[in-house]
Amino acid sequence: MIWRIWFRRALTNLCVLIFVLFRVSKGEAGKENSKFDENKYNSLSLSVDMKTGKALTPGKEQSSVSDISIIKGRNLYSITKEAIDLLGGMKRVVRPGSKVFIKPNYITGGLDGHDPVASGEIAHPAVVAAVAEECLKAGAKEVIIGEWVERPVKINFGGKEGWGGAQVKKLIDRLNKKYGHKIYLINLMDYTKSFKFVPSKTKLKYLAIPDIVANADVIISIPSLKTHHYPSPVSLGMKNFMGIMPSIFYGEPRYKLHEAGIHQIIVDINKALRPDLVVVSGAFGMEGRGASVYLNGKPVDVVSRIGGAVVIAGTDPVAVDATATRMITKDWRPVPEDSRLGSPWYVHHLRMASEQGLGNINTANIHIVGEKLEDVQMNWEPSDDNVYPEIPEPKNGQSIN
Amino acid sequence: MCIRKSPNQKMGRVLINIFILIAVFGAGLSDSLLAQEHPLFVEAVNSRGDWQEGVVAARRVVFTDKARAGSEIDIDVPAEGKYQLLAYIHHNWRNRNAFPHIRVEAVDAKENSHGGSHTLENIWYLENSDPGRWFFVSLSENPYWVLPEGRVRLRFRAEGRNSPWEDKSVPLESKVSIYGFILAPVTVNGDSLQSFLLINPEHCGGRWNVVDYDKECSTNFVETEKKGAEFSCAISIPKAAYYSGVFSVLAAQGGSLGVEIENKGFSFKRTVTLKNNPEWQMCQLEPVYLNKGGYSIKVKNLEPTLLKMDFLLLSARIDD
Repeated sequence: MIWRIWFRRALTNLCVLIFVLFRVSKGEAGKENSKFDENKYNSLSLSVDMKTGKALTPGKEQSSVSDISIIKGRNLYSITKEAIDLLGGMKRVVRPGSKVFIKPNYITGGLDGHDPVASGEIAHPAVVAAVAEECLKAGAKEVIIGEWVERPVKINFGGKEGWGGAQVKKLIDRLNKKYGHKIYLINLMDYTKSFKFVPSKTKLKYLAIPDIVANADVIISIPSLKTHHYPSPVSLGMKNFMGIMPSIFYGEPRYKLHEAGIHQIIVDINKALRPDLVVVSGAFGMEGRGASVYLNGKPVDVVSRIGGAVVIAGTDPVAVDATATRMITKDWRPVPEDSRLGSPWYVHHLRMASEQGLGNINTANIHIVGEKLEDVQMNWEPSDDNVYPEIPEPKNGQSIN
Repeated sequence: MCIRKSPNQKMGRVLINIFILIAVFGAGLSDSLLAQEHPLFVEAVNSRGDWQEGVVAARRVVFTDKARAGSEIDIDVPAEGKYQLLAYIHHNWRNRNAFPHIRVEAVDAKENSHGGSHTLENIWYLENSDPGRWFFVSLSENPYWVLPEGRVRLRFRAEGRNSPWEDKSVPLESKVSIYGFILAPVTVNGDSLQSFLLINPEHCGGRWNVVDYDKECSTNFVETEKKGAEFSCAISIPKAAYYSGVFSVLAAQGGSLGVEIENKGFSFKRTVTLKNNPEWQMCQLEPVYLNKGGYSIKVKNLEPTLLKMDFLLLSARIDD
């Protein structure tokens, strides 16, 4: 009898050993296929004096330059399409059968009953609809346009057209009629069933990403061109993703993320999501103490400033935001000694993102097609709470893309 | 199966430990015997302290309108592991000068202290006649607490904050209520965590009617009194494990629900009998072993009585 018991124990142990080995080998394989591809946006590195932003010595050249398109015009629908076409078209981003998630900046739309579109608070509906249509034309299986909103009236994709709403539903209804019902306007808080927790360099260690976003094949950010109050001088494509973060964990308005260090949080979210495309809506925008009228942000009619609306697009989220930042900070001072870094150097999360390999802020690594940046540059009023410049901590030997 | 009080699981744990010992020394053991059944949801009315018991928005709750009034409740942790503490909280604070802030401290079986808090947004955006709103919030410090097996004493209190950004205390604008706590296990899988699954039935497909905002209940939900009416929801199970479930139901005339979890080649069916109760009740679904993959959860009203359902929550059992 005893040998039978021992034989059984040995067999059990063997099974456990095989199971453990199998798990370990699977885990290693999973790491190799991780979505967190640190080298996706690596490019020319320059060693930089962190106090002044002065380039010292060219570093190792790694990969490519980031293409950014800037289109100016009156017809938002067509300039959005043109901006995407100049990058190689939406087919470069969306494969047939893809699930696309679009995150427009709709987070503060019309809280006080004003028009959130004309105030520049939110992305223009024509830009959002144009991007969604391009996705469908490229063969997307479904396009989800979403935002995590705790306030039921804050985001009104359809329930409240006109002032006080995002004014996008009619356009989406038209597209759904044309292409079959493939576009969904949702509040992530209602539809999220679970969360993917992704690593964070902050004290939070992990960040909860709603399953709908985490499971999307393609992720697109559509911010409005805005300056912002402390702690970030601008709110563009990268910061836009704060609006997907679940209030269940982080409160409303995500104060726990701010407490943890908002700049690194923005970088962490973007590292996890790896947005495939950013399209900045620049028909209306906001200067001063954005990102909402409630906070004393001042609406900007871009057409009246430069004779046309602008759309900025690109697949490198850092380079798009850096370009959009340059566009609205023409006379902001100080600027780094190395003019290739410019005002984005003094936007904490942009600088950190480039340092951490997420994308480019250095003009040496950004190739602009369409309009020349100088032709569309404006001098928007910064927020009055001394948010610019965000002086970097001096560190030696770091490199800036 | 509906929870009224936390069951004493000590005997169950002893038996399970015996079975595990037997397993280690070579005896065969059915998987189902390893399925620990523990209450995911703990009713706040089982707490003791300064918070008062009452009924708010058709739920039996504890509430307070006094800053720093404290209460405590014991929660049994079924196994050592990582947990998130969730709570279902109601308030009706309107002015933008005071925000409800809930603070908790959990003292575990090894006398370690774990902190957490959550500041809720003021609901100035609701109609003045609306009586408030329920919120699911996480109270544990992110991302989770590591708790040993045994009893956790959870102390909680409410404060008013002048804004979510600062910690300056202000008087409470009105009362804050807590319906219950959920200690949701968290498992670490490589670089990522797995936590609970929360389903809002009003965004599932089916034949239950969607009620957007019900003043009496201060929330949105689905309802039906049609026998056989069903709603279903697709879920994705991230990891093979035993999953426990709870769902929030209002069955004033009683009734019964059929709950089915299925995918290709797998089907789990249970009937849940609901006692007549004018208040929302939380029902527990026994643990079910689910492999990684996609499933459909179907909920069917089995009798011609009016049933309302607010949410379903599934959570994996903690890893051994």
